Amino acid sequence: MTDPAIWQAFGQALSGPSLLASFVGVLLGLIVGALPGLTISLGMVLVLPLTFGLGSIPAMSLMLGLFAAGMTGGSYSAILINIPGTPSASATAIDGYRMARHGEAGKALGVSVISSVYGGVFSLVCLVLSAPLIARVALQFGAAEQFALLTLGLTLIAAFAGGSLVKGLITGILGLLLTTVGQDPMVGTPRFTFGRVELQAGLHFIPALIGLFAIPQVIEGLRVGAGAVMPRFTVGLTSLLPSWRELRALNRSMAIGSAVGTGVGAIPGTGGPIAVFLAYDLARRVSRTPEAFGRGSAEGVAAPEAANNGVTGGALIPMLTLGIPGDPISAILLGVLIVQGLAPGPLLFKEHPDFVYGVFWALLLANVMTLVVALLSVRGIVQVLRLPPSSLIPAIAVLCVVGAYGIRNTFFDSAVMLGFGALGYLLNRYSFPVVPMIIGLVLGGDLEEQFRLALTLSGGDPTIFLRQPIAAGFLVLTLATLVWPILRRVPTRSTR
Amino acid sequence: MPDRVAAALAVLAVGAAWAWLARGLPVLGPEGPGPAFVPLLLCGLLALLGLLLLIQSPSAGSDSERPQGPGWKQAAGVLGLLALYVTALAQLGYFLATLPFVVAAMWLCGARSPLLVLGAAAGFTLGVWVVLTVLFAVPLPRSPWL
Repeated sequence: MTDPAIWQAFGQALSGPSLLASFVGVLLGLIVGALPGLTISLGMVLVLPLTFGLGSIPAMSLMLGLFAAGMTGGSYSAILINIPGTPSASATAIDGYRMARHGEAGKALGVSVISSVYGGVFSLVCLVLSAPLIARVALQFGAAEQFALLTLGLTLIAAFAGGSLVKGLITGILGLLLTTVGQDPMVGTPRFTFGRVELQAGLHFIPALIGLFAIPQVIEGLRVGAGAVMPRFTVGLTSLLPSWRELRALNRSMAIGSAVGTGVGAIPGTGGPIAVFLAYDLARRVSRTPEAFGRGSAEGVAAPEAANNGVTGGALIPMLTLGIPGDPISAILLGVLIVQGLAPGPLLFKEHPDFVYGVFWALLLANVMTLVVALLSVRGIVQVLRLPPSSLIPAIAVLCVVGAYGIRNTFFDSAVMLGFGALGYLLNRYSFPVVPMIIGLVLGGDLEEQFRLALTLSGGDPTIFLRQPIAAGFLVLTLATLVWPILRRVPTRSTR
Repeated sequence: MPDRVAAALAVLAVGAAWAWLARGLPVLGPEGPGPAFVPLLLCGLLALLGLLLLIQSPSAGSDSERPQGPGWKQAAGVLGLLALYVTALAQLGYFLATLPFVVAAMWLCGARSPLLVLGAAAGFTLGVWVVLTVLFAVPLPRSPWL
């Protein structure tokens, strides 16, 4: 009864290139995650050029390794110098740093690594169980339903991206507008190309991604925790691994964190930073020793660390099944798929089941690899925390430029990357969220195509979106997402 | 002029400019919306949101009204240096452009030891070439002289 594609994919995921790619991804993920100022998204866009010459499974192994290990790596600096390496490690710093100050840095790191892997594997099981079912349902969707679903996804991301809803919607629509550059998806008419051949195929998504993420950080410079005082601790394997009894005591916190992380990760627009604080709070509420939270509790490390790695599998659910990236990281993963010539969404499960199973195996491999590499390389990773920003900024700048060039071997893409970098700087400067623009750039082509297809099939009747119950349901949810912030503000004002 | 107002006006200007660029494209096709339909719809939505941003009270947004992060000079300097690097890459190729760029960038970032800067720049330039081109078969711009 077992699908032979599962074992075919297993073989691909354990092939030499995939194993090497996963190892490189995990190692880079731990470094990128550990360095405050470098984000996982930035790390992923910088290694994107490496995937151009790889097959689809090794490419995903590299990126998933970086994603999973980056989440774990964020806890190193959170625990050792009280500066979260990534926003998703913010809650870990609360108890992790106190454990380090009480002389338990090694134990805190060990708990963090084991909880991360626990969360990662839990979310993978949820992904494996739920994704084929969701994809099967989504396969029934017509153009109207797909348009409504994509609209809901984009609106959710604009609403939760932080700051004001209006600004989120503005950047989302700007992203959509930029995808109208190039040939019209239905009839092939050139639009906004100014007669340039390079623009006929539209603006490539990857240079935009590199520019929006990396260049503002190059401009700002990196605020690395160089010179921070690090507590002394032993890095022997025995000092890192908690005892079996300690692990059993942490089981409840890890389970809560994993479930919260997976659930939150699956909702577009949320992600790690929200998941970790929800998990931390929930774990404290159900803990037998809630008073220990905030004073160096291992449970306070286990719950958020399980949650941030739980996000990894959760985020893949809407990305793989519906083609909706819920956060910047899954948008980058989606970009990798596009470069590999694959279209995420329900059809992926039907047409490329071997690839989908390959992704599942690659995520499992990433988690196992994270456990081994993270525990064995603590001493080296800690040294990386001492790297000066002067050696990092030029390196990032070079990788941005040559990475954009490497996509199609054209300097036009490097120039586009710089243009998006300037745009990213402006958006950051005036507190406009960048994420909705990225998601708009990713979803724009499909959104327009489904919208126009639905209208064409209905003979130009716009009520098609309301006559189809599922499409209408998604649009009602979209409307609720838009109206909710206004309704939420009303009682606040009346009480003043 | 408050920055929020300036941002709102910029959004309105982008919407208007994009709609103007779409003026020659057909709005409707024989069987439904034409190539200009979606861009114009998006311009309309952008204009609406720009107006909402304009009339929003300063306290309505949760974020600060003041610009954040580095100033214009720093941004223009970094972007200018990167544009120079892209031009040099096109004219001189990867090695001849990257080595001086990394040296200059490290010096601008505060590194002052000539030996360290030169060593790190040479090592990094060679390392990126080995990883990208030799190991992962990603081509880098070639120099006309090397």
